[in-house]
Amino acid sequence: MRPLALVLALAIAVSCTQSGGPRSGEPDPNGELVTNMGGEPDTIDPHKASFQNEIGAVMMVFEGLMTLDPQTLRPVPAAAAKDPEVSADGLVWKFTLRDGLKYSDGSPLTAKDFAYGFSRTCDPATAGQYAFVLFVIVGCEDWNAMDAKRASKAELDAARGRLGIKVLSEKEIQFNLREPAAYFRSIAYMWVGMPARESDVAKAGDRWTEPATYIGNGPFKLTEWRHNDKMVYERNTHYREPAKLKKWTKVMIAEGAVAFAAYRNDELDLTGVAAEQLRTVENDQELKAQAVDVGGAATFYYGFNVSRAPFNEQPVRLAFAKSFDRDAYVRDVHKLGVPAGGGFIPPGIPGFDPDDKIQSFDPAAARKLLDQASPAAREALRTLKFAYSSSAASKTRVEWVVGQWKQHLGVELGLDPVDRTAYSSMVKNVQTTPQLFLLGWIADFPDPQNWHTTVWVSKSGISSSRVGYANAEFDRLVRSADRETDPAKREATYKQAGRILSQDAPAAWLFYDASKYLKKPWVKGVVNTPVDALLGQFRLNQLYVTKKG
Amino acid sequence: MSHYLVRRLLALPLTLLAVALITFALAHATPGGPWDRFDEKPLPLQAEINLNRYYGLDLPVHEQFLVYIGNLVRLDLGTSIQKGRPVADIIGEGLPVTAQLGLQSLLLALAVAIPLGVVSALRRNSLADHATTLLATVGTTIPNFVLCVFFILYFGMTLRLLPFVGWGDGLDVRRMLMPTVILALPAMGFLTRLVRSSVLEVLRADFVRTARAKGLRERSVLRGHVLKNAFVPVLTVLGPATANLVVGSFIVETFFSIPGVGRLFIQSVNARDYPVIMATTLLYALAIGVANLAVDLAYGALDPRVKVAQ
Repeated sequence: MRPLALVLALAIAVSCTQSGGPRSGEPDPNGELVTNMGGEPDTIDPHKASFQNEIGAVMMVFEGLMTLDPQTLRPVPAAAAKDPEVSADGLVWKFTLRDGLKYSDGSPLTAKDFAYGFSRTCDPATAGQYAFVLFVIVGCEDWNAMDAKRASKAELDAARGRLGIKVLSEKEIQFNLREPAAYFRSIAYMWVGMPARESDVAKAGDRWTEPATYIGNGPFKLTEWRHNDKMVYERNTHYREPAKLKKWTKVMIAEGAVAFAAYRNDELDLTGVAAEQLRTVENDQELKAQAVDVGGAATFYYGFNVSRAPFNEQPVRLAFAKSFDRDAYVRDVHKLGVPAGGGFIPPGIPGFDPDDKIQSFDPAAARKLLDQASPAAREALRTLKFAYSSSAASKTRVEWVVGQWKQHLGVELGLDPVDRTAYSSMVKNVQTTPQLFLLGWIADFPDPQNWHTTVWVSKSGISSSRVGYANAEFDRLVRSADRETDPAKREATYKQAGRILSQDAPAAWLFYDASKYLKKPWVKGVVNTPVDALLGQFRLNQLYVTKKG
Repeated sequence: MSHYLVRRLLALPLTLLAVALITFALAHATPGGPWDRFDEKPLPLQAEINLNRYYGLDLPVHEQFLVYIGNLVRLDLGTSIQKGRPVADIIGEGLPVTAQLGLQSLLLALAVAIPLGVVSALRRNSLADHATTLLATVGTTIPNFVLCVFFILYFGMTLRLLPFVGWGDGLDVRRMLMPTVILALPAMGFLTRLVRSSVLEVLRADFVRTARAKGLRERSVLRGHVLKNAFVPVLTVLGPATANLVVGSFIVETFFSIPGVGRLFIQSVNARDYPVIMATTLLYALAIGVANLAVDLAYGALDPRVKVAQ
């Protein structure tokens, strides 16, 4: 046999042995799922995690007091036996745990473990990035603001003692809040309150997140972590509803094209689709049938620094917001995503307002608005530059809109690319934030409070503080909605505030995040939500692969 | 000889100290800090203050440097700001993989380049010579990422001959084949050309004519006079080449999902992860220093005129 023929024969033999083979519909009790987590998560410490891949890794192994209903994204009990009991003034919240909760090593889990988890997030020595979501708990902000290295032990202990978290019994934990906060139910689902075990953290220090001490109460346990290579999870038999999968391996393939190739080779059961792979998927009937679309929990926008000309004038801002075609952007430029058509909060997230058309594309109306600009604003427009983080994606987004504004408003803008890290440091405060910039917001938890109040409330809001936006009426509305206990009234008040925000236009909503992934036909029971996009956090125990026939 | 060695070894820490000072100053002078990698979500102010305290970034920069050097002397490389884990752990996991890949590639490159270079020098304009030119051109001009894509598509997907995801336990030859060959190709091409031209040059030297004139057999001329002398320039480039290969290739490691340290260099700079920037730069400086020292010592063995003892 000639060498080439031999190679070909070998190739055919190998490819035949690798094919998936027929499958029955039955869940395979020994089923294994292989997915890609991209790069290695920087940390899987629940009280330090902040990125989606980090949070996804936490949620495999831990379960909070509450979880989210994947259909409605409303909080429902998880480790808690029932909805929390809330005092009449909304300040005292009592959670009762289910009976017989256990860690994956079989040891009992009590209210004390949850108290430890929440307080570890407040502890300044932890330096967790999400401590701020717990500042609504009495004493958390004061303790967190202390210098853990220079304050005396007595001072730190006293601050810890003032924390409004109390263990009432083995099964009951109580939180004292400094103001009523209907959204605390959603916070109780978050990673910040996961019951890491104090003895594990004390024993292994910075290395406690390695498999030997990373013991949780969720559907899976971490059995192997080869850094930068893979994480292996196995079914936690002590979980109240054991997972249908036996094993779940998450490999780390950083290069999207390689992951796509590995999926086509049946080495991955699931993979995300990048914009550059869309055409391949569209043109391949088999892949097309395996594609799943998921909404996201992020909104991207062109931001305006409202403290500097020309964007200190509301008509100019709204004119810019109404003069680019969002549908064309998603169709021609971004490919994935949903055109922003209804305020700051995206579809699928509580608080979405599809009828908010204030910023919708209307070049004629935009030109009229721009006519109202003062001479100073006109002068500023002549030298205006668009600063952006110099990645290829940002460049396309910015060049596209600059073309739209030239076409529809007759305004010519310069481009100002800035190194990504330097850009992030620039847009942090109002003195250095450029007049025009590109940013987005990704939700921490699906509640309008985490959008309107967290991002846009005067002075302290994450984006308002960088652009100098302030509106007393908006503040009044969101503050009252934050405290409101009637869900319908609450949502209506947030929507009212959202309209004010769209009208004031401190930012022009561009598009809502969305993604597409591919799933092999033998993977079943997948639950998709905008919060966790690609198989992250909810009902992981329901996931299974079918038996090979 | 031993004096020379001691002197060179003593100079190494001073070189490293200078590298540390320059790197530290440059890293801290670059705009942005470790907490500026959150495009969409800037850190809340209090979290940033706490993190700065946690990592000692609240101290004046010169104090941070002194603390760093103090820890370094005790072989404490600090904690990665991005990963929150000891830098020594991170490098300890990745370096063996990267070094293995690099050394394998280097050996492969040498094993091909030396015989091929010699043969093509001895038989100029033969088929072997043209083949060498082709290999050298392909190896040095086609970028790594193109080779990675081509190899994965052809050998991984079309022929399904070789796996292309991950490194396994470092013993699986099939897994290691593609990344090793791709990483070796540029060095192979370059070294082949170098061996060829350097053999050609030596062949024209007076002492080779003398050796032939005194009636030595061609094989003895080659072995005793030509090859030994032709390797001096090869040895010179081998120092930095070894250091380069041993500290890794960002591209090959990324494409083949290899858990090495090659990626750390770029990741740490982008993330302004100062302890990792320092550790990787010092590691590279150390590798260059040691490789150059080894090369200088080897000169003496190849060429008796080089007296390292003085």
